Amino acid sequence: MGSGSERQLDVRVIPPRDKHPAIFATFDALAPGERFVLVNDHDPLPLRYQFQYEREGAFEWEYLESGPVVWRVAIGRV
Amino acid sequence: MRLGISSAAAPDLPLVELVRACRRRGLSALQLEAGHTHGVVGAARVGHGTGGGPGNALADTPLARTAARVREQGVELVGFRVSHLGDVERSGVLLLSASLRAPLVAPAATAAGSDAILAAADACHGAGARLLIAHGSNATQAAALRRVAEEAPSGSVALAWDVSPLAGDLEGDAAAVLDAAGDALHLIRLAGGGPESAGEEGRGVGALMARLALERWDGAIVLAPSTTRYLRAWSAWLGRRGGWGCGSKAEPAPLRLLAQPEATS
Repeated sequence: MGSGSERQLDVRVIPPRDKHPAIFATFDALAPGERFVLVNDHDPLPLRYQFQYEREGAFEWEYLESGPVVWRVAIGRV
Repeated sequence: MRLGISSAAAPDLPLVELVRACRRRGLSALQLEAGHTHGVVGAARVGHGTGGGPGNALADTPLARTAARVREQGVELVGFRVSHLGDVERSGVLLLSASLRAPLVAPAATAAGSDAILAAADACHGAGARLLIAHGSNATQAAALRRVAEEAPSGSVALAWDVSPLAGDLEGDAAAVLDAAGDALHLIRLAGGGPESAGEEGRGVGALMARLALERWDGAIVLAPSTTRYLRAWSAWLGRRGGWGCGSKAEPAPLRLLAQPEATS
């Protein structure tokens, strides 16, 4: 498939219960130093808490866009 | 990757309202389908007196100006879908694609064979238009269409995948379809999503999106109702902002990624 400049995971189209598994599967497939951009329709704070609990010290979190319609967060694997 | 809608999500809305709906939902892609009320129809001919070559003339058409205004709103027209491949070679349709800078999308099932696709591709190439051939969730079909696309004039033909999670399209060999289409896949029309998302839990959409993300896929995904029965729900969904929650309170099973082809050196 055609390659863009960054990995972008748009979870807005993913059913609610499947979102976090898709996000963690994407994260876990990254090599250290790589990142993807999460696109969501609300602030993914619960996700951030889950990352802090389940991947403590292994991730980086940077807001690229903070609403009011779209949130974009760069999630990197340390 | 851009996420958007097909005009099938609101077939009675004019273009300006479709664009507003995209902006309201933070969507950046819009596919128009022939026969809907959006108001975008084929141009009879390119206007005269604009100076310069054909390229300049195309840029000065009402269709081109419309497309430019849509882009200024942060929405890209990612396709104009016709119901039959034979519609592609009508001059008005070709000019429409070239003026909008949006590819024509035609169902592979309406092609009499690869020669018909190549003939349509030649017509598109000559008019400055592009063609996406829409296939289903069949890896053999996708591979065959990819070979046809590779035979066509460079850049004139690519693939679009019509996928329906509720029909189980992603529960079988979705990875094989992606492998077969490869770099030729530019557009995915996903039947469902939006207000129908909750009903698609466990149907493979998450695995699909994860693989597209990991491969840095930069095509467009447009959502369309899985059935006209849900049009009212789509109308309500398009009329407001907000999501359906992140499901953080659920305890779902880990997701298995769609297998990616092994790299060859």
